[in-house]
Amino acid sequence: MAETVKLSPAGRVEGDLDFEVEVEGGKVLSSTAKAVMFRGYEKILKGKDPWLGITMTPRICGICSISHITSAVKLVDMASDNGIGGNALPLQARIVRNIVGSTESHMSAMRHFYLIFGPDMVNDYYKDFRDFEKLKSRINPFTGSSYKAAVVWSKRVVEITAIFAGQQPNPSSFVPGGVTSSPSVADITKSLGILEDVREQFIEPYVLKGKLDDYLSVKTWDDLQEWMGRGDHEDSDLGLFIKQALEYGWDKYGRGSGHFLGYPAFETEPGQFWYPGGVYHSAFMHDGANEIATDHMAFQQRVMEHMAHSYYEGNGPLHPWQGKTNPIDMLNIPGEKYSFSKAPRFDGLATEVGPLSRLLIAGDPLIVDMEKRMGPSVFLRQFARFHEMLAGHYVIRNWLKSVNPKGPFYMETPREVKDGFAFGWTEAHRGALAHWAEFKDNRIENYQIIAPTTWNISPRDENNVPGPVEQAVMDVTVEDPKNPIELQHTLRSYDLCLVCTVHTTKSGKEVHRFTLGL
Amino acid sequence: MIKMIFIGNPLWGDDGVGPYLLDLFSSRLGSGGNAKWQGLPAVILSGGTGGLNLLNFMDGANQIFFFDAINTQGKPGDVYKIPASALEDWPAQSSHDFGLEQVLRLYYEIEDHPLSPDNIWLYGVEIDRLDFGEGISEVVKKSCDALFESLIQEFEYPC
Repeated sequence: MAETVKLSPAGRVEGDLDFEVEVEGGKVLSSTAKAVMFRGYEKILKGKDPWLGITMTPRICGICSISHITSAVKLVDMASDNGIGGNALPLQARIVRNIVGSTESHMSAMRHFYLIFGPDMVNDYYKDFRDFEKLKSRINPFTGSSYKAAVVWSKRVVEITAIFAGQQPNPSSFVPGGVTSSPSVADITKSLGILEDVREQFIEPYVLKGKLDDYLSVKTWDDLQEWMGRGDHEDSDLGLFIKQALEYGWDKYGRGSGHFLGYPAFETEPGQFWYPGGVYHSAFMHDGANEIATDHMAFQQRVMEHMAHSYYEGNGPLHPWQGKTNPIDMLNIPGEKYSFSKAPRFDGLATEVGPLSRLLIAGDPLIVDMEKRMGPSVFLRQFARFHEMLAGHYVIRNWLKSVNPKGPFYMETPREVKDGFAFGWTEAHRGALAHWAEFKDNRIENYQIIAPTTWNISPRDENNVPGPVEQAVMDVTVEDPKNPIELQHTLRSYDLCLVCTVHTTKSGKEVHRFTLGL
Repeated sequence: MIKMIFIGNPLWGDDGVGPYLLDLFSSRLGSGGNAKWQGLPAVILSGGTGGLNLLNFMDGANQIFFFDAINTQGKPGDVYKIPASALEDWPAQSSHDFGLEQVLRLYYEIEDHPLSPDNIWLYGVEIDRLDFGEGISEVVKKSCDALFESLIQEFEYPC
């Protein structure tokens, strides 16, 4: 008999995402990710001032507000002759935007690992793990020593974001043409001091039990094993995570589609990016091909949104510039529609987005080596998130050091945009995030947003190909449908920004329901 | 200082209670820090959709008022004033991040010298509807206006 596991949101907005998994004999038979709420931000923007996207879209999501404002402002920059991605802006403006975005990502990585993924690591399912008691003393919610340290130190990182963003959440300092903040020497010194404290008092004693520089010399999976064997590394939070992951096979499930998408983000010089963006195909599952985005205009044209299984008029696929957001009554379902999420595809492929995607595309040696050897999985996706925080630490420091209080941080930009099509994109912590718009007579004619979670939880497309997370749970063995910890890990590894309720069902009957809040 | 932190999403129906009250208070009290409550300078902050970043907002305060929409299945428009000491009674939850109750709990876990729970209050307004769109419902708006008119009496501010 088949059982269905349903994973649903809690909180103020009950039921953002209903994830239904049908299980029989531990095997997953089918999965559907149903976004059950219509969020027509695009409709509100139609006919409005083109700059309104900058103040309104950060409210879409409190935890990705910086990334929404970044994409929204880049979109207006493009429509104001400031270049695609605002690459004609003064270097200092780009650096400040980079500091704001990368520190937000730094903070999110710390919180996701300890506050979101961590609690499942101390699930009773793991009570026989030899380091279980130690793990609990560190990452038990609210009271664990590392859990609390992550709250304290991620809060300090937010101070840096706030110094450069002016206000967090809902930053006010990003404007077309650059930024309105002009950091002082004291601001820069203070931020560098906070970052150093984060390394010396959190990353090194808790995450690594060793020096960050030592960890950064790890370039291959073999190096990582060797690193684990040295000093107290094995006993660090990262060390315990690796041991637990390998012992319980987190490296063998949750593979997903094996296609990875990233956008060019965090530009320094024009054409130079921390993350160049592109599309990578798993070496383990596919051919290992990696294409870096070079012609950005052509690259974004390859994004199409399908609606064959989404509660919208028409089936698509449509490029976001032609995109329509006309919801239909979900109670009167014509055919096979089941989600308020559209199904974005790149070159027709269900691509996942997030830290793993951007590190693979950027050619991070350790992550690429691990992907070749063991393939994508819950373990690699989660490891990549942590690795990015470590690998990015000095990148942020270097940006802070290269801020020149003399600027310039802004270039004159007309208040009216040109007619035509524009887009703005970035990498949120959770992955590729872009806004597209058409402007006419200095009004918004059409506005379309594809957020990272939309990529990951997308429903099936016109060819009936499931979305990345729908695919990722298909290789999961659910030992106990009443405590489907394997499903929880898989969904959490994507860091979904929606609260998600998972329902396990068997022969159409619900046997368990649990909520993945944030 | 007293920090007044307004939480909510103005694009999500009655979740816009916080932003609505923020507009009322900031237009009367101004943002120059000239307004005072029991002698404490009042600072007005937009908490957006809330979450753990609220911890940063709480730094340096002697007294904190949170303003948020709440959903207790009670009568729409009812206004509650809840002290942090009644933590478990805080019904406010956020769809995007940690709820206020969890934020408060973490605040007391990590702060070396936290405020007394008697110095942190939530003003919560029971919602009528939560759906996509701008503007709060009439019954909720009336309660917000009444809450504003009564609370503003406690402040001294240059006219």
